[in-house]
Amino acid sequence: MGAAVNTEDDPDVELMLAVQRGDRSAFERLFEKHIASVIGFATRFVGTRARAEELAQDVFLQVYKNRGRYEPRARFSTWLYRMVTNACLSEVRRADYRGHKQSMDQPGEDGEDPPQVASARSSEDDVVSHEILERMRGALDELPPQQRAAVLLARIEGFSYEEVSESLSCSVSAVKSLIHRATVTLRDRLKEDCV
Amino acid sequence: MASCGSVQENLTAWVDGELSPQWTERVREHVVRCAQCAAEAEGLRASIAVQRTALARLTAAGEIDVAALHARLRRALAAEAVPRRSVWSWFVRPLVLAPAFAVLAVLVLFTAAGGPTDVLVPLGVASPPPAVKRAPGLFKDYTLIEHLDELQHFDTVESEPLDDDQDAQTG
Repeated sequence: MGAAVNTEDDPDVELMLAVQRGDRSAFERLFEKHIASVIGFATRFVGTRARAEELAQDVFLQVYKNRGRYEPRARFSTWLYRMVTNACLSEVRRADYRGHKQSMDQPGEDGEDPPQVASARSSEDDVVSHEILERMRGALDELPPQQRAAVLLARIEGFSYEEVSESLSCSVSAVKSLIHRATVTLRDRLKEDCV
Repeated sequence: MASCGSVQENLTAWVDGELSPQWTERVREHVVRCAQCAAEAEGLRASIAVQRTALARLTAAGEIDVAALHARLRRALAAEAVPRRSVWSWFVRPLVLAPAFAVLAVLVLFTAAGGPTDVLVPLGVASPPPAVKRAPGLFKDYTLIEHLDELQHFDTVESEPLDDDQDAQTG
């Protein structure tokens, strides 16, 4: 099992406690630190960058409004991504969502560029070909939303299974199953390229 | 030794270092002896590394105008800070407006009944016309006087014969 998180080592916990005491600048620092990753995560659920930005803003509004309820029991990002995943999964569940959903990463009606690949690439990134990215994009978008959320939290945000379970409000054994199935599905889709 | 099925169900968690110490050891012992599960574990390990890199690229937000987003958030927070009209005001407001509506309703009723004079003079609230004022004895009959036109043909009204009259005729 993942090691218990020492909240004293998490500077975001201190910032959030400062927010509770009414420090607005602490909230702004948390916003600036996490906004990009929240938008990137949300984009894999809502399809367009513009909607992901709206969702991210709603989440940070919730963070500020619920600051009084925050308890430093875990890393701040665990608490944050609980709200983010709830918002994303709610968005996916909306009955009218399919009607409005554009193909992932296709330009929007307003000509918006697809929010996909960061401009900065490391040498490690170079081993991932464009073809692999396209396969991964298709496979990821086809994963059930909970599997998608679990695998993104574990692989990108670096959450332990226990932290993923807190963010998704489910058991650790359920998370183990979600991540295993997602990992195997993604592997099978990429198999020709990486084996 | 654990079966291949139970080990393979736990292989991803094993590669991720997320199993309990007991299960970690159980899977390790199995993988050392089972070439098929060892290959499966190695394949998963390689794939997870690629997945990690590819997913990071796919979820990278790219260029973000943090200042613009920040300004938007500040506006939203400012809007949230404006006190919303309380539910109580939805009850207070009608109480404030009630007298105005009552006056309006009375005026409408007066108009429907023929005007304020026709209603208020008989009630003694408003002053009667000067001619009536000069003859106070008539004031109590003012309403009757107002309707004299309707009573001028009173004598032509055919009335039913009284019982006494019928008795007199038959008697």
